[in-house]
Amino acid sequence: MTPNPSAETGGVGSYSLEEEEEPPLLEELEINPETIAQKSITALNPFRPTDPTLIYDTDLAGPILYYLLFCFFLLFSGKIQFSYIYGFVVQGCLSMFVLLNVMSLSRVSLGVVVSVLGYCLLPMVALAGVNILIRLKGILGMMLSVAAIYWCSVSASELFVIGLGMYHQQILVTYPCVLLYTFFAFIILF
Amino acid sequence: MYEQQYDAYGQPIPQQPQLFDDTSTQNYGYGQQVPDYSGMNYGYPQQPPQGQAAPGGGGAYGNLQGGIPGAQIFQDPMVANMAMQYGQTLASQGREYVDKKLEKYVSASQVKYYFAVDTQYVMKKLRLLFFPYTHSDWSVRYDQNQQVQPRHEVNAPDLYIPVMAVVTYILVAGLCLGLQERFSPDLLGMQASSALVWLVLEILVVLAILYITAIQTNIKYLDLLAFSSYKYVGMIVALLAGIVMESMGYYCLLAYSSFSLVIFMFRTLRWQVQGGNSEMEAYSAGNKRRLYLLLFMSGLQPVLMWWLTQHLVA
Repeated sequence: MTPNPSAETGGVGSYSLEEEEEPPLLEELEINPETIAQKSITALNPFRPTDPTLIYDTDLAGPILYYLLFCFFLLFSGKIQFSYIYGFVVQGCLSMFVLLNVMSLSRVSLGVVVSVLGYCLLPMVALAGVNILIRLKGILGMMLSVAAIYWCSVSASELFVIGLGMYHQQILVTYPCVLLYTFFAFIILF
Repeated sequence: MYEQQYDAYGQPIPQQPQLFDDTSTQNYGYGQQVPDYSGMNYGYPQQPPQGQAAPGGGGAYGNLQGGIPGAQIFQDPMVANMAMQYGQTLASQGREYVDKKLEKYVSASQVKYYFAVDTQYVMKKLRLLFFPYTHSDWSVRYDQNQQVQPRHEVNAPDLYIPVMAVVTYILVAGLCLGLQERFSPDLLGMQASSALVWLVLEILVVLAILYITAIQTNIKYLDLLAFSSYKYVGMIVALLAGIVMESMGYYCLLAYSSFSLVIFMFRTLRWQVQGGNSEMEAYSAGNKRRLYLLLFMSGLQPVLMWWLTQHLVA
């Protein structure tokens, strides 16, 4: 890279030269909205068989986005509990990571666990969004929450079981996911 | 190696002690000849003396490039690779060190044994916890001096059910509190810590009794943890009944699950505490003490079950 004659003007000129050659911010951070949307649909689609290659491509941008959305929806319904949710998310992901490593024959990495759990959080985010508009306390709220928990947990456990080959332990993997997402539901409801 | 260097303005550059010989910076630069200064510094500061060779604009260009002087060295792919490799070796060394230290207290293969379960085992074990009188053979098969995995032997203890039971108990406690409008996340945390404290306390008491009365058994710490946590399953069921049917349902189911848990514990522990293999005659000396210990442990369970749940049911 040789100095451009136009850069003779000084430092400011050289800055603009650099900025034009830099990739856009989202691309540089490797946050790709289309990929996030596509992965979410693949992860959560109950009608198509699950594709295990999804979990080998760990991507934390989607999960972080969903987590932030969840917290902000709760903020709009009057619950400012960012710290509890964050603490619980960290604890839950770590325990899931330990449990999966101990129960399965092949090792998992923490990124994969966080990625899968994060993408399957989307129905919970939707529930939190619904909670802003409609009070979810009665029977209808319970049924909606149960449906959302079921959807989240089954998607997550499908991904884990197919990716790790734990076919006889499907219910055993689903149950911890149920517990995890039930906590999110509790935060929304109570 | 430590001769004074000057930057483009003739100011002395403060010297940093050298970490290692970095020979990858030979070709770094923007197409300019980097003068070969002996004792190449790795990192800060990295202004090649550009004195008279480059035009003034180029010199200013180089100075204003990175916010931190020396940051542009990481744009060179070779240096970036080396830095990443160094970081990775550091990380793996750290992990090995931690693993080695942990092996002494909690060996990973031991823990894996307790989690080698499948759905069938869990179903059968839960049925045993609530209907222990349907089962007649409580012995555990051994395979080369080691207990058979829980996957293949329904009488062996496992840690999956206890861990799930404890976490479910905390969540059901949250549910109870929430339905009574008493919920808040820190209360959940308090419930969690009190449950864990009681668990640890119970295990410590049993270990102390085992030590003081000098009973010889084959039982291991993780086994004790497993056995002490089976009561959480009964507690969960009692709490759920309490949600559905108020105090009546709670007390009925608490009584029933205590009763079945006592039978379960007594039968399982009798087998475990007495060793259960061919060296029976060596253990016959402490039989009465063993019996008292068994009765104590089995009787402790209903008391703790009641104590940990009664404040949650209105």
